[in-house]
Amino acid sequence: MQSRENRLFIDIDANSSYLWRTDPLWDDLLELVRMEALRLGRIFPLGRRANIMRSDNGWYIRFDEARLTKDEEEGIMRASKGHFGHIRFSCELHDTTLRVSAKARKRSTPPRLREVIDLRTV
Amino acid sequence: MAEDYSTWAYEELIAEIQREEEALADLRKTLRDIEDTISSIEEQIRTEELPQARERFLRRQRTIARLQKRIAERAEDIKLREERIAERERDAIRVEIFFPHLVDTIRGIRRSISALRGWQTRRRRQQERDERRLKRLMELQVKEEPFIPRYTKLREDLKFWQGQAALLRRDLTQEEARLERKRAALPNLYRIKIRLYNEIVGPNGSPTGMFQAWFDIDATLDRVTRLVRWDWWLTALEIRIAKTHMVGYFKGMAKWASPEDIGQATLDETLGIPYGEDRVTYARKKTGETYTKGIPGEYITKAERMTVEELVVGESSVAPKPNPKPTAENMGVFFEKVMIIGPDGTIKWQEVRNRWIWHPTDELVKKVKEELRIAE
Repeated sequence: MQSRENRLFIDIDANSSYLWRTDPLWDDLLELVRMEALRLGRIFPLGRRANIMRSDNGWYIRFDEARLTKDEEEGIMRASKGHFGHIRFSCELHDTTLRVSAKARKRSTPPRLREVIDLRTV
Repeated sequence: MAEDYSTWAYEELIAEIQREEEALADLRKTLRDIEDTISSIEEQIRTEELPQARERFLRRQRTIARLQKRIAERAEDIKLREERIAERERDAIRVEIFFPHLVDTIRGIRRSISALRGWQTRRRRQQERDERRLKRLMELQVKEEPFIPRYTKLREDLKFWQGQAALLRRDLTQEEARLERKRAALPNLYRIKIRLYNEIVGPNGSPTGMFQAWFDIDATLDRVTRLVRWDWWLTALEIRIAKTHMVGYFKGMAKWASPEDIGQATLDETLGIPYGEDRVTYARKKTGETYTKGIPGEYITKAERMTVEELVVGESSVAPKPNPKPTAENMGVFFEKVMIIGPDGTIKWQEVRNRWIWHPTDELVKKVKEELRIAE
C-alpha cells in the first residue's frame, strides 16, 4: 500500500497547453494559474493553501499541505493543465521535482513566491 | 496565558495537531453550512423585497390607516350631531308646548332639524362607504398578511445565523492561532529530498535532465508557507556537498570495474573535484578508451562537459519528514540514486546508491540545535 507522503507540484509555462494561449488578454497567465489552483483545490483534498510561484517563463503551483499517494499525485497531475513534458517526465521517473535554484543559463533566477491562495474560501 | 507546548513530547504534539486539524475541518464545514443558510435567507429576503409587492402593501397600509382615522373622527362627529339634533328636538317640543302661537319659529326649528337629519344621513352614507372600503382593504391586506411574519422571521433567522457564523469564525480564529502555536513548537528541522540535474534541452525544446541524482538533505521550513528556506546555511552547505559529489561520481564513472568500485570515484583523482567551469576529465586507457562498462560513449562525452555550476537543484514532491531528534547520524547528505536520462526522456541507466556521503560534525549538530531551539 502506498503511503501518503507526496505533495502536488504543477509546472505551468506559456507553452504548457494551448488552452492557456487562447486569449491574448491573459498576458502573464496569473489569472488562469489562480483559476487552476482553485479548480484543483475544489476537486481534490489538497490542504488549506496553494503557493503560486513565478519561475523564469512560467508558474509553479505548489500544494505543500497535500499528502497524496504516488498514484493520486500522478493522476491529479495528468488531470491538471500543467506542462505536458513535466507531467510525462515525472510519471516516467515516478518522481516530481520543481526547480528551486537558478539555471546555469543567463537571466535565470530561482522561482519566487508570488502569492498564497487560501483554498478554504473555495 | 498561552500554554507552553515546547514541553510536550513530539509524538504527543503531532497527535494533538492532527486531532485539532480534524476538529477544525469539522468547524469549517459547519461554517460553510451556515454560510450557505445565510445566503439562502438573504436570497429569500431579496425575493420578498420585490419593489412592486412591497410598495403596494405599504400603500394599502397607509390608506387603511387614513380610513380608520377618518371613520373614527366622523363617528365622533355623527355622535355630536345626533346629540345636537336631539337637543333641537327637545327645543321644538318645549316651544310647541309653551309657545304654541309662535308658529313660524316652530316651523323654522323643525326645518332646521330636518336639514340636520339630512346632512346626518349623508354623513352616515359616507361613513358606510368608507367602512366598506376599509373592510375590502383589510381583506386584501389580510390575504397578504403572511408576508409580515414571514419577512420578520427571515430577518430574525438571518440575524441569528449571522451571529452563529461570527461566533464560529471567532472560534476558528482562536483554534487556528492555538494550532499555529503548536506547530511552532514542533522542531523545525526536516529531511527533504532533492534532485540535482544538468539542463539539456530536449527535442521538443523543453529542458530535460540528462544526469540526475537524488539526495536527502537537512532543511528548515517557513512556518507560514511551508516552503523550504534554501538560504539556510546547513541546507546551502549540503547542496554544495551533494553537487560536488554528483560531479565527482560521474567523473569517477570511467574507473568503474563494477558498481562496488564507486568508492574510488573521487578518492584517487589527481586533478581534484571539478568546480565552476572545470570540466570533468575521465581516466582513460592508453588507447583512449574509458574504463567505463555499460555506459554508452555519448554519455561519457556529455558527462565530461558537466560542471558543478551548471547543476540545477530541484525539490521533490515527497513531503519533508520532521527530524525531531537530530543527531550526527541522522543528519547530513544521503545519496539515494543516480540516473542517466536519454534525449527521449526515458531512463537509460540508473544505480541505486542508498548511502550516506556526509554527516555533520557534533559541533555542527549542536549549533543547529541551539539555533532551532531543539531540546537535547
